[in-house]
Amino acid sequence: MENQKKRQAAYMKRSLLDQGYLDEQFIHLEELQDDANPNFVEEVVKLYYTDSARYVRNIELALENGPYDFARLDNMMYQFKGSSSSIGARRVKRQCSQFQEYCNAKNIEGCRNIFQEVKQEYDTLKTKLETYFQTDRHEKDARKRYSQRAEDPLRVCLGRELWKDSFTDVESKHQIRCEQAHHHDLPSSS
Amino acid sequence: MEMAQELHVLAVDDSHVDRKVIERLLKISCCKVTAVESGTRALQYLGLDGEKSSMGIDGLKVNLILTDYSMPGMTGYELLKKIKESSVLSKIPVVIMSSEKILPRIDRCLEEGAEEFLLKPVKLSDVKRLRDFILRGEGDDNKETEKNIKQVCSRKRKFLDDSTTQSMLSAVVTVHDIESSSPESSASSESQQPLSKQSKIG
Repeated sequence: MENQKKRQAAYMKRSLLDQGYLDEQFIHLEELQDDANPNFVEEVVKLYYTDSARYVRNIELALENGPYDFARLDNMMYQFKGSSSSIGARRVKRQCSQFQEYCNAKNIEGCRNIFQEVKQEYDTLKTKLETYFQTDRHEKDARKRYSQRAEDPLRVCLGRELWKDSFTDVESKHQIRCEQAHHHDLPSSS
Repeated sequence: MEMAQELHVLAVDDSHVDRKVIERLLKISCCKVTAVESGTRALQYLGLDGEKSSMGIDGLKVNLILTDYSMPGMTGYELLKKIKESSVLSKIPVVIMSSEKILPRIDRCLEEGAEEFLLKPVKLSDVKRLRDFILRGEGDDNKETEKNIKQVCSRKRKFLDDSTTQSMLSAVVTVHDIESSSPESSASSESQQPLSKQSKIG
């Protein structure tokens, strides 16, 4: 049962990697997490979105009206791309590179068009990562609660109830009840 | 020279995200970190007139300066120059980080006295290797301290997978690489030479 829930976050991450939303830098960041800093990557990603909002805004403004300062546009994009690279945002990074190419070619329409792509990838990734972190946190909490309950026999019953309620899918609940019935002679009600 | 229990690294980067990441990398590698957002701040921290011997304003000796190359105002290169020009600060090893692998830029930095040039995003293996390099250079009479730090650090982070070591070979460029690569191939060259072991700290 536990494995099913554990797989969800891992599956999401695998999917994000396979589809190219993320690259191995994201994995490197996760390797920096430990018990004392379990949400480090989520913190970094949150910081990225807070911090880079101004780059996005400034680039948008700079693209609105001429005269167009391509050097400045390129510089802003360079900084935005750097942060994106630091969190492993592969697709965003790729669109940023394309933008820089249009800057070098002094092609303002190209810049504008590709910037829409940049923003789209940026927003899509945000949603996907929010879901991933939520799922991951949920799983971590569940595992923690389970291990805490298992350690303290006096709280086992209370803990088990709370733990059961943390899972919403029917199959998991059924499995839990089956396990309990098997191990502790409790009625296996549905 | 007195050797601190932990290396104190001054990290300089205008990117808030990168500062957060490098700080984590350094803390995991058992280094004390002071992170600042500009070259100006870095020099302020070190004492502009270089009166205190490589100590930060809080009295902590700085063992390594890790700076981004592209920063508004003062670039990492300019910061490097100022440090190397200072009679007191010049002894502090400086490592430059950049997301761009531009060989003439790397060349210039190494010539100006940078110990290494790291490609971003910086990895844990890069930082660990730097730490070990600095520890060795800080004093041959401190082998015991170096060993202690490594033991304590590896105990703390036992669960970390050390197979990330391989990646360091592709991310680091030293003088050896500059001398062996031609200018024409600089833009497209992706291959790296293994890290040469020459020690730069006497």
